[in-house]
Amino acid sequence: MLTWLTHTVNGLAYGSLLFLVASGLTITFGLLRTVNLAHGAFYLLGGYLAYDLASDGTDYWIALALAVLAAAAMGTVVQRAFLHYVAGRELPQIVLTLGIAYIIGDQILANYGGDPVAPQTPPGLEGPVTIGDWTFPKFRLVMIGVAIAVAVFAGALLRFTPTGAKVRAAVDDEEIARAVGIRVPLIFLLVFGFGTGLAAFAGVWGGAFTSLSPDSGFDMLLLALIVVVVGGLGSIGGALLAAFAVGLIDQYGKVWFPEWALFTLYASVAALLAVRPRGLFGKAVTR
Amino acid sequence: MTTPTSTKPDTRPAAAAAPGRSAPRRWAPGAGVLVAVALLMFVPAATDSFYTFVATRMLLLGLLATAFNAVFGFGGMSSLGHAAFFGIGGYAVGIGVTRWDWSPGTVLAAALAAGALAGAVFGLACLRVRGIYLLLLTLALAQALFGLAFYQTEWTGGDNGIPNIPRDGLPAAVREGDGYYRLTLVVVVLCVALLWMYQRSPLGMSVVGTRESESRMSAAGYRPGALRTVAFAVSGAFSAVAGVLEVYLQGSVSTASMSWQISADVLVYAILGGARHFFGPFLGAVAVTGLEVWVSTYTDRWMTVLGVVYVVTALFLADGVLGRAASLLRLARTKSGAGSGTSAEART
Amino acid sequence: MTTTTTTTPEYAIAATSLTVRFGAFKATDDVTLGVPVGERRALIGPNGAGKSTLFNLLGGQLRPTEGRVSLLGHDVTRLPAHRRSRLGLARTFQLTNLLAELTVRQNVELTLAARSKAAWVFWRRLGAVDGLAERALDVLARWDLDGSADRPVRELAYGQQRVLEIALAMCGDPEVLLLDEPTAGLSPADARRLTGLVADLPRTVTVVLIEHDMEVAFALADRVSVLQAGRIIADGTPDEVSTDKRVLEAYLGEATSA
Repeated sequence: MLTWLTHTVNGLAYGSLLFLVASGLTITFGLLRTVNLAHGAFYLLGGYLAYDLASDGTDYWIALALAVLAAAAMGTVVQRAFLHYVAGRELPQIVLTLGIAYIIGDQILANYGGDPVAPQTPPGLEGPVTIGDWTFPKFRLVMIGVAIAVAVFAGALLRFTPTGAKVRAAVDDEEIARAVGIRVPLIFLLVFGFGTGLAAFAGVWGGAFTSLSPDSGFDMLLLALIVVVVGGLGSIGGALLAAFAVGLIDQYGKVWFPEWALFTLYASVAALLAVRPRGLFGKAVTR
Repeated sequence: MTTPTSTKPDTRPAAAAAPGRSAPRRWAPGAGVLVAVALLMFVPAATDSFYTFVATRMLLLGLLATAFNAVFGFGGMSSLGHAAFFGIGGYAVGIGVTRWDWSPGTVLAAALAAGALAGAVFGLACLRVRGIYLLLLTLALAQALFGLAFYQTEWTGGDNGIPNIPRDGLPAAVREGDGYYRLTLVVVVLCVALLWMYQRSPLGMSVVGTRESESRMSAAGYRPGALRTVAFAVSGAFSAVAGVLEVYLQGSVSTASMSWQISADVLVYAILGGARHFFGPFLGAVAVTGLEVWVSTYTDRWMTVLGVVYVVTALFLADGVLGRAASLLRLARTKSGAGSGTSAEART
Repeated sequence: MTTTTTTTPEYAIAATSLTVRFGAFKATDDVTLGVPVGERRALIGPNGAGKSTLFNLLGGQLRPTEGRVSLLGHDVTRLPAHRRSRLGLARTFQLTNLLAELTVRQNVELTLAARSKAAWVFWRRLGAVDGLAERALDVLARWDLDGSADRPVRELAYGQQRVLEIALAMCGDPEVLLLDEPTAGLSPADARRLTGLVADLPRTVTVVLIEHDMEVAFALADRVSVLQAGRIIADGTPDEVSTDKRVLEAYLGEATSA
């Protein structure tokens, strides 16, 4: 019984990590109509920067903040210097962000090597929590809390601020959003920086969760893409639910039918996309 | 809606070449191709075995890119899942030869059939999606197959793949090195010629018509969904042939043949070379493969350079090298007097 | 079921109680309409009256929420556009809808190929199959488009594109032809030329056309149906309709209340 509880909470914790990566991706898509395939690279960037700083003796929390800020800054640079010029054109955006992902990933490989590194668990969150007979790593529980907090925070931003209203408008009706001139470059920069900063934060904690290697950027990207697709492109609440679902399926799948786990995951996503392109929680399209 | 290229004027498909030309002019390109193929036969004589290997890869990746373009440039559908077909061809060799001792002919037939079948499944799954959703759906389908290749270790050898695939089935003259290069050349030329014929046939042209306007085509009596599925099946079948050639060349197959990075690469080959031109994607494949070899003599950081190639392609080469060349050519012609100039055009 | 007006084959195309809703909005509201074989019928009505929606229902581009469509005696309500095309229906679109990157010749050849054995041929050049090239030349000559045969359609003048639309629609020798504002956006000279072309269509073809220009509509049509807010409010000969009180109200009302 307790094993199942552990599997379930593990799944939720992993889902939380996925959500942290996916939330930035889905917000970016909502406003910019860009599936940013460099998102996984920003995950890596944050993870490795914080790891590097912390192993040089910088205070953990300062290292984390610096890594997140650096990734956010770099995100805005990428958006302004490159993505800006292919606004509204999906295919060039995909090729462009993939190229940037290759560059960042390769530079990380050059600097840190290809072997996985294991960043430390955040100080204060080490060790287990014991409730009755059940023990579980404290860090993972906190991760779930953080994911929910981010979801609530981002959701509130979307719901109650003018910027959020514009994002929602853009998600609801791209044409009209464009027509009323929502493509304000400054908002784009901020949203993009916010998204990449979130990815970097996920990288710092995700590294401590699963370890960090240059390959893990694309692994996370693909899983986050699933979350975004299932949750409905642009939907925060959908992304949270989808992230939990994917986390649980991944966890149970590894326990129950490891040979079929990856196939089942992607095949169900494909089936969903084929039938309901806008995802489970996205607006249905009438075609 | 996405269409593969931007609004630049030159988007005329290669298959739009005007018929009704006088006989000598009509035969000239064919003769030129024959001469070129004959010359290519002598590449191994002029280089060492490493460059022969590279040339072989250029050919088979060129075939992959050309097959991909049946869906992408001519079908107007942006797929990010063509690694699946390439991998299917690869595993047809690996599994067929090591398990059942298939002859190359059987392998080829199986790969064509499996590639076409998988392509048809992709096409049917994609009936209702366009643009970004099509990209994501094809990616998900390909990843599902990647998942099979990765975890069905009993069949595929998992991440390690199937090593040491014997080439004994191939005639001795074409089994290794120079001979295998020539075999690849013949197969690729044959496949590309078939694709060329298909692309300008009524069937292939009606796929192009579907790219231009589904409602127009269905009002004329065509079934756009069926045509999209056909395009995927044709593309899948020939992409699988490229996978077969690759695995006979490497002597092994692994999940790398199904990695989504192959799908991304082939997309970039097509855009970079010029997706609206029949030979554009082939050119792109040759160029990037050549660049890799050249860059690798100076640095280990090929992926960084490839990333730069992607960025440059996205920012500056939406119509590809051939597209650029064609618009320059047209510009020159317009300046010199005749010509109708460029036209502002509203895309659907 | 035996003698409802719509299933009687003398109607080339007919709609029975046709309704389509987009959310709460009825774009087409209980439309019943029958066009006898060989008739020229004009559909008129103010902007947003649902004329193009009705065309999309008749053509198969849109499925109705309720009601039926019959074509030459067949119930085609559930048939997709390409099946209706094969039964003998052809149409043009309000916004020019052509294969813009292909040449004029290829547009014609492809349209001809749709109805021939050639459609699934994959080994020979488009024009070389089933005499398509020669047949296409005939069509181009008939519509005076042969001068621009090898130009991409997007380079044609707008008036020529509209002519090409009708030429394509006539390629399959349709029995029923739906023309959605054939003269919209044309210069007066081009509009006159196009009106002439439509008037000269053989009488064996049943023509339904949406037309904004009353003069053109009344000149071409045997009968006129008037749509307003998704409903048919009047139906009759041009003379009857032009003096119908409700029609005048519909047009004048729109002008005064707006």
